[in-house]
Amino acid sequence: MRGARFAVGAAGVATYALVPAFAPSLTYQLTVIVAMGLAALAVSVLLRAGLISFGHALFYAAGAYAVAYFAPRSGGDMLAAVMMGLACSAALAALTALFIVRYRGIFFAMLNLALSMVAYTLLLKLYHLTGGSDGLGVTVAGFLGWGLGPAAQGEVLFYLALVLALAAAWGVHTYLRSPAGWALSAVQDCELRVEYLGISARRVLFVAYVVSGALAGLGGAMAGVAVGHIAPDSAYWTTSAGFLVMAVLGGSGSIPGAFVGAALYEVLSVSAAQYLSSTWELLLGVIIFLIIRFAPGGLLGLYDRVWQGRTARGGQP
Amino acid sequence: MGAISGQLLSACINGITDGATLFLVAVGLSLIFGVLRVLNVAHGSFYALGAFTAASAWLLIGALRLPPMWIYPALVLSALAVGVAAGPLIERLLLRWTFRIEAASQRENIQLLATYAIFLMLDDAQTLIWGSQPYYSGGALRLLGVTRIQGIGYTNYQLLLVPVAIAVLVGLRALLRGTSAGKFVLAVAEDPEISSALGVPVGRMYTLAFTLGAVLAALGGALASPTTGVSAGIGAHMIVLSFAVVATAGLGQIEGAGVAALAIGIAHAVAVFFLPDLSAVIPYLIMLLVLVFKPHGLFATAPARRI
Repeated sequence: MRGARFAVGAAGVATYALVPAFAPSLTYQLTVIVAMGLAALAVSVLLRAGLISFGHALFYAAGAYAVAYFAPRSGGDMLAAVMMGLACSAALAALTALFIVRYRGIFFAMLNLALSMVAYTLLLKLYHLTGGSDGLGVTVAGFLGWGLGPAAQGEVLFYLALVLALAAAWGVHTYLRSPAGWALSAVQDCELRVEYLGISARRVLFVAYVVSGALAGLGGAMAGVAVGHIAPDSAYWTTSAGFLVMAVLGGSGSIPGAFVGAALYEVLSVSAAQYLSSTWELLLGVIIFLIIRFAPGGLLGLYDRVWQGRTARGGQP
Repeated sequence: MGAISGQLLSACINGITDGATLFLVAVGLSLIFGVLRVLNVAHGSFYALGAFTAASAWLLIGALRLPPMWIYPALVLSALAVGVAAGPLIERLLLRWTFRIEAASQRENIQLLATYAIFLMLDDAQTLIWGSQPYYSGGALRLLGVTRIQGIGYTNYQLLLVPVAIAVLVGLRALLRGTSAGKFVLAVAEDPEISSALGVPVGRMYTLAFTLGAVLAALGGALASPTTGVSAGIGAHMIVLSFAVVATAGLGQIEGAGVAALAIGIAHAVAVFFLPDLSAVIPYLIMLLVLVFKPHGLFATAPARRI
């Protein structure tokens, strides 16, 4: 069954990678989905430890603003700019993690929320640095020394996002299967027992938080480049809640689930905004509710359940 | 010197009156958390619904040519209508099932998401009913006249918010400590299993506490509606502010929420005068500062760690 799931995943990624060749107009949307998926994956890593962050938009916005600030000052290479975004968010996450790993449960959620709201307000008010509510333009020029036109830039960015997301997914997969990753799930089960084993729960969470901040920053940096613009709203608490919803829609704590959830969220919000302009939140709320109520494993959990149901009835293994 | 102290006094008075409505919302949130152990992300929506209903009541009174003074009982009635209509429905239909989840951390996370889903639904329901244009009911503000303090005019309505908030606090205490239903609610907050074993109808107490919390939030919104314009997004803004108050005070604290709301209200208003650009950061900075030194809030004690 694991093999079958891997094959389905590989086929899904391959199809996804081919779509822009047939429908170039979708390239931008597909890039944004991958970027959002990275932010959802960031939230998912913390969900492994049972920690909900209601403020990951902080690192997402930090990644995008870092690109907006540094790209024009450093030649504007796309890859360098995106990596700069990742590094800035990781550094910010490390700084935050120094004290935030002391908190659990609701207080962890609320402190993240408070930090992101402070960031949101500063982005809004420090007009000279951040452009206030207008935000900043995010412009990159070229990729590893090649100059790119606008259309080619969109395509290069899409494949760069896809490659980096696959690398990130593989990295998180490896991390979760390392001793530090197992300790992360153990913190959710019983923190005291983890400490009796001689492992520092805070150190485990520190690593997870920095990984998570870096992922969200990478997502934000790529979304910023894709959109070409970044505004303070990207740090508001509802953006953070959106990432959380994506992670849970796909399947709490699951790596492919984060991307599946991001895809569903984006498709829902774009199509609903087109056809049901004023009721898409209502629709989204109902769908979130139905999923947590009736399919707590998210879409991937649902898929597994259907698949297992088939094999139990004597289908192919 | 005189100008500065006059400004400071004015900032303090504004802060105290803002703190009064903030207190009502936060104390509702704290009550719901204390009894149901649910951090209600949709709480800001009750505030918004209360504010919109009150603004509609003002328009209705104008349209029917009723005596304008009727707005004051109408404010309270709007809050009651919103809380009593929405509270039990949401608690029974959308939240009750989450209490059966065994693992505590999983339950907390599911509840955060469930209440966020409710927030999204209520947010759009509000846009569907009232549209997205702002409402102003400032007329209700000036009906009671103006008091001059050191040359600066304050509407009596604004000044009255403080005694109203204090009356609500006293009334809530009396309700919780003095009536049998209130004592049942406190017992459930302390330990739902033992309360249930002693014959307390735990489910009904959950509904009661949730409804009471919703009424308080809606009352905050209804009373604040004449002082500020009512527009889309006020719910999302209010919920994070009241989170800051409740976290500063400590989850489940009622009197503590009053102190924290007052402190945050005053600090915010003083900052509006002296650091206008950064004033919106103040509530979160206070919360961060408090939680760094008192990880469970000012007035709460740490729970024991269990194996």
